Amino acid sequence: MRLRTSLAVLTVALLACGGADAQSASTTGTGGSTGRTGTIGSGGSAASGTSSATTLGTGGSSTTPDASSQSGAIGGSAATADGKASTKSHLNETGSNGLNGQAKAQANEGGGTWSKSMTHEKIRDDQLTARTKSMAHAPGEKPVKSTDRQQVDLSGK
Amino acid sequence: MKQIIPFALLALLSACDAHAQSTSSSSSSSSGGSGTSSAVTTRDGETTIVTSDGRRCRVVHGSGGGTSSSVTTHADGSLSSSTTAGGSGVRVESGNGASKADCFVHDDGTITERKK
Repeated sequence: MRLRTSLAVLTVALLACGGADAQSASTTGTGGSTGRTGTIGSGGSAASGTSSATTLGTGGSSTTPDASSQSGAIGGSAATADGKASTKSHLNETGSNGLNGQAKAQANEGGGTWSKSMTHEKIRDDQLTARTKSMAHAPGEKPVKSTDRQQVDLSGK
Repeated sequence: MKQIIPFALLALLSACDAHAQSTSSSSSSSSGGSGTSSAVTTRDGETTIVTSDGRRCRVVHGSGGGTSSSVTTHADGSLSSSTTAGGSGVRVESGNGASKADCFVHDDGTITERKK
């Protein structure tokens, strides 16, 4: 009986230990509006082995009879114990009450273990869109993916 | 056999614990691994770009004209970003394979939506 119990505990411990290397990918997003004012956000994170990659962005637009204002923020983070990690983020003004942004983050541990995430956002006075895709891969397993897409219409149509 | 199992279990749990510590320390660039983060925010013609190769907490922020956006890079490598416009706003947090978002759509800041 004691032997059976020990074997059962050993099996559970093996499964728990094996789970520490599990790959994961998660995304989320949200948005809301009131009249011609709205905000949007999207983000995601992926992890596999010792690698992790995260990107996210938020943005908003507010239009009144007197003025229109847009703002946005976007960023990425990546890390790994071995191998390489890199991020790129940019957010440019379109010149016509708009912003375009993109963030990329990726971490490659080597040996087929990697994580990456990308976020795009477009901010306009009449429409807000944001989307994120996160992926992770571990050797011998299918890649895991997660995507999020958000859209807020401020046109009043 | 009965004597071997507890020792095997102990060794296994120790191995798991050592691995967990290794994973935790790898989030710091000082462990010999590499870490990087970047964030950018813009508003009304003013753009601020922050790039950090370390694990320092950085905040970039732009506000005015009725809208405000910010990105924060946290010490553990996770990120958070928020934007407010008028009385509404959103906040997104991501890191370590998990994400969550809050949406504020009332002037009093009441959270009406939360996703994980």
